[in-house]
Amino acid sequence: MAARRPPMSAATRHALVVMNRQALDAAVLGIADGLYEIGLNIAADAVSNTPRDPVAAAKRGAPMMADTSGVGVWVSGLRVAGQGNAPGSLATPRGETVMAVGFGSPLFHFMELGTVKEIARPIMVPAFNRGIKGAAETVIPAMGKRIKAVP
Amino acid sequence: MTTLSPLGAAVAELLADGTVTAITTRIRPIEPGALDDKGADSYVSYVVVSVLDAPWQAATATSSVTLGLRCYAPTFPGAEALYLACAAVFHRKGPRIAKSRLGIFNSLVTGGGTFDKDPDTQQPLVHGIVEMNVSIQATPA
Repeated sequence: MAARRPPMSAATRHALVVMNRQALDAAVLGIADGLYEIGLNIAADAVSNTPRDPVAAAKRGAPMMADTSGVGVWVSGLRVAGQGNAPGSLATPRGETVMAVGFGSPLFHFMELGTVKEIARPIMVPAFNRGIKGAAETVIPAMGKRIKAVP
Repeated sequence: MTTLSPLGAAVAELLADGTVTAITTRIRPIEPGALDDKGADSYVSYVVVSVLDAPWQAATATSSVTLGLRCYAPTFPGAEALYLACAAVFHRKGPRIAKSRLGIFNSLVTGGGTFDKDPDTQQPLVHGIVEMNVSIQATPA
């Protein structure tokens, strides 16, 4: 008959809680790392399909739409990856990890959704759908890397 | 196997809704109709429905469709009312079979409600994004 394990001491329990808390934060940051990588891939996919018109851009005095892509990741409302400001409509609730990818051009949504004279020419939605396929294969290893680094 | 248009099914659902048709019956797939694009003094209400993406799923005989709605009206409140009526047709709706026999598993409004002006005509509009999961073959009668 196997010997019963002695009850865990308070010190051991406390140490386990501290260790688990570090690992949990590492897991969340790992999710953020994975989502950021996915976002970069989505942005690259979208940029590669975005038309470039340097003449029109020079005429407008504005950067080309393809050069305005950006990715950001927020954990509980705090930015942990990427640059720039979050879109005004983006919700980054407490307890959630949010990745946003898009173009900074004020004209992008007209190309994506269409206008009276132009049909919709979606680029970001298909890039997003391609990019999030197999998201687990990116996020899980990123989590593992962060958790393994926890002392 | 017969594949059926989710765009056609979405347009048909909007046309079958009394709240939407009380505002307008100009529900257009892909682009506005010939008489929809009018000048600033005679804007009319209409809706343009586009497919932004419709990938077929690898493991099931279904497609995840993303639709873009552009709800035009003479005024911003009018465009908002039209958008809200269209959103109510799709938001959190469960399984149903379209008249074309396309199976629609569910639909959800996932974005939009933002006010804008069409860059070509300056007409007020509200954008909407709808996600639908549909079958890729007809449902037997």
